[in-house]
Amino acid sequence: MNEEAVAAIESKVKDIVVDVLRVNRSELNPSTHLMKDLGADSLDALDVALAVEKTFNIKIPDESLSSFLTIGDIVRGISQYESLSRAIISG
Amino acid sequence: METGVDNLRSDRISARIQAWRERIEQAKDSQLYFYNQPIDELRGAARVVVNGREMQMFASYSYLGLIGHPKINAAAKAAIEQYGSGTHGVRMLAGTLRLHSELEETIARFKQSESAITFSSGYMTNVTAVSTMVSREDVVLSDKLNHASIVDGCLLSGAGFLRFRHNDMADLEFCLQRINPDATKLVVVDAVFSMDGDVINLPKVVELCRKYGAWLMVDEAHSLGVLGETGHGIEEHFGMEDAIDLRMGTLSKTIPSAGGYLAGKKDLIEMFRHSARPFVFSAAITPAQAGAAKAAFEVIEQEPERVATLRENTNRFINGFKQLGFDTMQTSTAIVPVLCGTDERAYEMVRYCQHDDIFVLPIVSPAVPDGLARLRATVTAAHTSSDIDQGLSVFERAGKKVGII
Repeated sequence: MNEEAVAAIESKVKDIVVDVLRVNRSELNPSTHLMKDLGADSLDALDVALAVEKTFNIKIPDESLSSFLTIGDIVRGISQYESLSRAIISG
Repeated sequence: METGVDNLRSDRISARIQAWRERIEQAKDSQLYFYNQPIDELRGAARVVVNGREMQMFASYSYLGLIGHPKINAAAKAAIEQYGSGTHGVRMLAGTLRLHSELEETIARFKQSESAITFSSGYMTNVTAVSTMVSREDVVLSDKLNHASIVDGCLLSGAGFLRFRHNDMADLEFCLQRINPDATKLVVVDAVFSMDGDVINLPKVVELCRKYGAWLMVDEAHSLGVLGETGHGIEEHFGMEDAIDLRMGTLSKTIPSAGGYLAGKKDLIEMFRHSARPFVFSAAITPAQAGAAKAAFEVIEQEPERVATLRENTNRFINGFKQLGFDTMQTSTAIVPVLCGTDERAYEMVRYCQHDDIFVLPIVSPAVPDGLARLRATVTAAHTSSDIDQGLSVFERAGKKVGII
């Protein structure tokens, strides 16, 4: 996947985190941890994951939820679904 | 017959069972398992016998020390003599006793409400309250540190579910502003937060609810008998009247029985009495429970000195921890979090305290955020000053051994 595609995904992930957790976008970078840095709890993390699923039309397995906790990890997780990501770029 | 986990299938349920088995066994092997310990005997209202040893109870939510009160015990026995041990059915059909009606009238009077209804568990009361009040087209706003039963009620209701930052009135207002002004809104808060012991900013919550046209429900599980000059709760504490639409409380903490109640305007309570599924389809609270609960409300009013003693004991307990250098967070009530940091440090603290015959328990993640593991120490009106000082000396020794102070 090219850098442009990854950047587009990252931007959408930041939109979700800003909306769900009501934090400033400027606080967010790839290493930002939802719980440790943004004070999210497990229900918040689930809300973020559900919004990611809806936005990107993907299904995150329950077992993987615990690794969806930094912006970078979420972006990498989504990027695994390359075809979907491509659809987003073209859309 | 083959039973147990040795006969597991290789599916996801089996994986869950296996994960729990490993976690529990690991804690037990490291002697760091403190849950589900049976109490063998009560010695007064502040001491218990556990594993053959008499321990000071610092984990109780019998805040006014009413467990074992002679009038309450007598009322439970009298209720059994009069009505037996069970009821003929669910409340709506053959299960309502005159005693249930009397208890509900007593609660309504105590909480200065038109009417009240009781349920057979506090958890169920919250699930019922939220899921009966709102549904899919509505929005419920809940403090982030509200009790799990409120969270579950919100999820079950299917309503839009917004959680505002703990006791953060700016965030609550921001959330209220975000909602379609035409939507029906319910704000739910704990009066006293069960893991932190702090008190909700009720005057501001009420102001915001009125400004944005939201209904307000307050859970008084840990404030009944605790807040207010005479223990009547959070409205007495803030000198407010008629501030809350739905007053929820439990019959298992200050009130030494089991169950929960909702109190409010008559028509609202009548709606619960006829449409709340957990009321309609659950067993009635038993005669002994109802008799004990009714007597306990009366004892709180007959013995107001207990509320004053609790307030003095709370100050002595919190100040004692602070002087020793412990972090007790924002508490101002009988629930005193003693911050330990990591889960391991909380477990170690408990091990040292229980070794020195202080019964206290750890609260670790995920019940509280990672890194904020704590002891949840509670003080009651049944403790004497010397009980508290003796307890504090044990906490001090343990805190120094673990390196918290």
